[in-house]
Formats: sequence, C-alpha cells, structure tokens
Amino acid sequence: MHAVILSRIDHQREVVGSCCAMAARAGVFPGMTVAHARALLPPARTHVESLDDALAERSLRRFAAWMIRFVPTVAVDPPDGLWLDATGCERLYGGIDRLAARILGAVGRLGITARLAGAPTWGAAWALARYTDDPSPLPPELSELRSVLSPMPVAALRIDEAMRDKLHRIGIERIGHLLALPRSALADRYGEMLLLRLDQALGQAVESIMPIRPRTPVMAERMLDGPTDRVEAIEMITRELVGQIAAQLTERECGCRRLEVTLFRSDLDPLTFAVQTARPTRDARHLWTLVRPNLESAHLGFGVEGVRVRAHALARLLHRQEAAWEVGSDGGASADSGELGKLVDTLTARLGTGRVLRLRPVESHLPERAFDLETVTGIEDRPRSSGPALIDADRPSLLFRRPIPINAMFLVPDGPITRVNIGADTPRIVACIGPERIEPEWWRGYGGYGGCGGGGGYGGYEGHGTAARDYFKAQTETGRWLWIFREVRHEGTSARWFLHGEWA
Amino acid sequence: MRTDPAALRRWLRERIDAIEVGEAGTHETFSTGWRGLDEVLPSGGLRCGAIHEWFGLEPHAADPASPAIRGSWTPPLLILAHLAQRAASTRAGGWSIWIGARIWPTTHALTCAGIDGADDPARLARTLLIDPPTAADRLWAIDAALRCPGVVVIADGSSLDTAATRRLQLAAESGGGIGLLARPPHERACLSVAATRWSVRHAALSSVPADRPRWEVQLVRCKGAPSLLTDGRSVVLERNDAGSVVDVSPEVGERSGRAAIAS
Repeated sequence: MHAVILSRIDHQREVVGSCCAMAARAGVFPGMTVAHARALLPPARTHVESLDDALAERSLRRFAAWMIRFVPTVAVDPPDGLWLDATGCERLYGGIDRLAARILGAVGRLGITARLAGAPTWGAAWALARYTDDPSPLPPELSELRSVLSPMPVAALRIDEAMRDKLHRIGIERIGHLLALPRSALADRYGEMLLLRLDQALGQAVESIMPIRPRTPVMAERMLDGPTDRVEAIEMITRELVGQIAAQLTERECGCRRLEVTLFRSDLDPLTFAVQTARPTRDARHLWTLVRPNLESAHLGFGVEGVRVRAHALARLLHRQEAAWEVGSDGGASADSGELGKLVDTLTARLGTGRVLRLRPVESHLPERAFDLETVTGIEDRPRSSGPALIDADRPSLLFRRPIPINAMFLVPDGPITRVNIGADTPRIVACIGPERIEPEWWRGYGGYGGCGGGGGYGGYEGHGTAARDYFKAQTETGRWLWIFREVRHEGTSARWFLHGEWA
Repeated sequence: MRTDPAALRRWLRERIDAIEVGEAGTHETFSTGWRGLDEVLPSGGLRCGAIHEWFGLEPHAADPASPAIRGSWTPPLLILAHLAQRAASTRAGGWSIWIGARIWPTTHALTCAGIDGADDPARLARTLLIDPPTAADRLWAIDAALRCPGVVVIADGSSLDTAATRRLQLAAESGGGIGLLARPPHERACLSVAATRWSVRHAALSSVPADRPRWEVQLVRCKGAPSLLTDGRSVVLERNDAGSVVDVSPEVGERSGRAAIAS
C-alpha cells in the first residue's frame, strides 16, 4: 500500500490538494505543503501526483454513471461529492440502511473511501456526510433538521472560505448561532446567499440537482430462433442492423469512426470484427461495403444465433443533405473530402492496412531514408504541410527499393565510365556528371539500415552503412539518365557499383 | 418545320452535340502545360472524365519485343507527375492517387514537378500511394478511385485488356476523375478505349545535344480527332534544372500550318 497525495500549486507552493485515508491518518490534510506531508510519511511508500481538475471531474462523472446501478438519479457535486436520489429505492433493497451498506461495500471494493449520509434535503445531506463523525444513512425527519444541524460548524452550509472567516470574526461558529440571529439582519450583513444556503439545508427553499444522463451505446442486435449458417441470411440481418445504426446515428447527429460487428455462434466464442473509417460517417451503404468483406470471410462455425452491431468513436456530424450532394451538379468537379474518405476506407478494407500510404519527407541526406511511408488513417479537410524541407539537390524520379548491383567499365583506370552492365544490358555511357559524395549516417551506428520506414529494406548487400557513396548521373546512349553510385572503400577491395535510381 | 437553313444547321449541331455527350461528355479539359501537346489535341487539352494512356520508356536500345526484357520498362514518372499536378491544380481538392508500387514516384518528383518550378510541400499530403497486392486488386483499386469525384488517378496500367480499359473508362466517366495510365511499351498493340494514347521515348541523342533528361512524346491515338493530326509528329520535353518538365520542341514552321488545320 502506498500513501497517495494529489498536489496542486497554491501561491507558488506545492500543497496537498487531496490525500488518501492512509495519508490522512498520518496527519496529512489538504492545504499543507507537500514537503511537510512527505516528512510525515515513509518516503518509499508515498506517491505524489499533480491534481488534474479536468481529469478529476471526468472521473467523478464516470463514478456517477457507475452509481446508477443502485439508484436511478445521480448528480455530481464537484470536487468530491455525489448526490443520490434514493427516494423509493429502499424498498428494492429492504431498507435504506441495507441500500447504504451495499453501496458502501461496492465502493469500498473499488478502493474508494466514501462517507454516506441520508437527509431529507440536499443541503443537510451535504452537511451530515462531511461534518458528522459517523454519518448515518437513515435520514432524520424534516422537523428534526434544526436540532441536528444546530451544533454543526457554519462551513457545513456550503459557504465559501471568505464568508466563513467573516462569521468567525464575530464569533459565529455553529449553525445554531446563525439560527438564533434575526433573518433580516443576516441578509443585510452577509447577503442573500447565506440565507439561501440555510433555507436549503432546512428544507425551506427548493433546490434542484442536475442528474447525469448516461450515454446509451449506439447498438442494434437481433437474436435468431435457431442457428443458421446461411451467409445470405446473416448478410441480410447485418445489413438491416447497419441500417438501424445509421438511423440511430442520424437521430443523435453523430457519425462513427468504428463499427463493431459481433456474431454469436453456437458452441463457439462470439466472433467480433471491427471496421474503421477515415472520417466519421453514418452512411449505411458505405458502412455496409466495409462490413461485407469481413462477413464473407467470417468463420460461422456451426451456425450463427445472433448478430450485434455497435458504433464506437462517435463524433458529432451535423445533418446535411447527403445523397443529393454527392452526385454533384457540376459533374463532381470538386474533390469532396467525404468522398475521398470513403475511398480510403474502401481501399483499406479490401487491400488491407499498410497498402494506402502517404509520403512524408524525413530529414536525412541518404536518398533511401529521405522519406517515410505512413499509413493513411484519416482524411483531413485541410492537409497539413508538415515535415522537414526536401534536400535541395537533384534527385531522380524513380528510386529502386534496393540498389541494383551493376558493373562499370572503364577504358583507362580511374577514367570516365564507358559502359555499365545492368543485367543483360550493357549500354554505353555518353555523359557522366558527378561525383556527389554521400556519407553514411554514422550516428545511427553500423548496420543500422533496413527496417526504417517504408523506403526501407536497404539490405540486400553486405557492407552497407559503413561505406560512403559517390553518386553519378550517367546518361546512356539511348538517352536514359541513371543514378549510379560507387561505394567508397578502403584500399584493397575493388569498388562496387550500384544502380539506385533513374530520371524517368 | 424549320425553313431557315442557318437555324436548321444550328438545330442539327445541337442534336449531334446531344448525341455525342455520352462519348465526348460534358467534362471539361485541362491544359497539359506543354504547348506542343495541347496543339495536337482537338479540345486543347486532356479531357477529364476519361482515361489517358502513356506508354512508358523502353530501357534498351535492343529489340523491345524480345521476351527477356519484356518485363522491364520504366513509367514516364516526371511527365505523369507534371500532368497529375496540372490536373490537380485545376480541381478544388487537388488530390492525386498513385496506384501500383511500380509507378510510385519519389518525393522530389512529386514536389519539384512544379508548373513554374515552385515547390509545394502540401502536395505530398494530398497524394496517396496505393499498393495493391495483385493485378486484380489493382484494376479494382483504379476503378474505385476513378469513381471518386474530383481526384486524379495515376496508375500502373500494365496487362490491362480491352474490357478492363472499357471498365475504367466508364468509371472515369461516372466519377469525372482523370485517369492517367502508365503502360509498358510492348502493349501498344493492345486495343484500348482510352481517350488518348501517347508514346514516350527517350529523345534520340543524335537530334539534340542533351545534357538534361529529354523525352519524345507522340500522340498515338486520340478519340474524335482526325488521324492526320496524329501522324507521327513528336514533341520534345525536357526536365530543366529547376525540376520541372518543359516543352523544348524546335519551333518549326510546320506547326502553325497544323494548328490551322486543327482549328
């Protein structure tokens, strides 16, 4: 077990924002400096993390959604509270204390320390949960509230620190003190807010809460009377379900980027496959074209008993007149990014991922490393022009994935190249421009080639990566312009020549 | 009944135009950016919503029909990159899709083939490269891409039969896309329904003292154009030092005569 402290920055000091029960037992309380808290706790078993308010609120919301399994109406009370409307629920559990015991038990198993109090008003429940030593889930009667709340500190009224200090200054410590004062005087001196909080706690003013609404998943399913292994039937059902999903998405003004199809097979585990789209979509026809190939290759086993389709990664997609615009009155002269997204999806679905690619320049002077092939996952309306600038040198239009070994022939040693030998072909070289020396990237280490990006696989011959290369632009008698290079080797070995590209 | 001969002629013209719509289409054209090429085309440019075949470069001086070297050919990448960019710049989205790993150009070919030599790194982001594993997948991918409105499709068009070209032409007509197919030179004898067919050769060394890559481009066939326009005159293109491909055909007096016939 570790003591956990969430820190926040207050006046340029790192102070404890909140801490776990274990740390609290050691004497840590919110507001003390983290250095002080560390001194109180065993250093090896203390975990300090900065408090992320947005994350905390999201977690609280998720916790509230989880709590709906006990009571139907749950509201969040940031930073650390939940309001549960248990009216009528106690009958299902055989009493409010049993309901409370179940909630606390389940919450405890989640590793959350919770205090739960019941009260006829939100304000009183807030006070009782925080300012009694042993809060009870059994709510006091409305008429008892005055006497129950009177001995509690004024902070239990959900007032801010400034207000509390003001009250303390004139000696008002407890709610009972406030109740003894005339209301008109209180309103004049401390404003309406204090009275409102007081009335809300005592049930003399109405207070409403904003219950969270869980997002129901976009899902459609159909169970069959018996298993079937007829592909056409399953296809028909799935297609219908995809149509239902599209209708649900339209209702919510959403599109999905992931669609999951589950086939419930008899005597086998359910088979689930998912299709991705480059852009959020709710076009049933398009989704179906993506799902269909998966369905055709699916292993149906002894038969399918049911199909479920579920949409994930929902994104807001406003209503628009879909079909009418796609044809385009101008013969489709403008590239619609939605159409292009569909094309990318269709291509990816049939050809597989890693077959729809995009070139990205990479900062490297080695020609086979100067670009990277990245898989296209989404189509942006406004493509970014990122990446380093290209090398400002003449590079061929065609680059062989792997340099082709060739033989170079000379009339005189170290003279100009006269012929090259590429496979069965031996063209005469009539012009030769160069050399351009390209050094290996020593910082990558020796033998570090291969496998980088899609330009990749510059394997194929040993000794690479250690030798510099001299590149030449060579023109053959037929008018081809070749990009050939010679490995610059140390004395002893003869130079080896390779064909690496062509201006085609 | 119409009696005015001028009105009758106009009416007939409209009727013929209406009948021709299916073939010639209502699709616009785009200029290739090379004067010599635009002049031989009846509409002054390459038509959108159609496929155009470019027969690639023979690597050898030897007999190209010999079986040993049939497989080796080089697609005219710089010319295709230039055309892709011309076509993309005339359309709103400007996406180009290269299908077939064999014809994937390098980043330099894509960015430097500028009309006026201007680099545009955003062009890389608007370029998709597709790698279909089999020839059947390639044909399917080209078909699917051509049906997407407003894109330029540059594809490896090797071993396509007449039915396949018909299929692609129909796809291009329905989508309004531009299909540029790079085909191996030995397939020039294959029948095709492409709107235009071009052959690209390395410029013969004897005719021009080249110190830069040069090509001779010849219109082999053009739908709807009289054959005398395509009778073997070639245009010489050169890749200049800025990286763009320009028309460097010698200005012959003959050209103006031909232009007169064309118009």
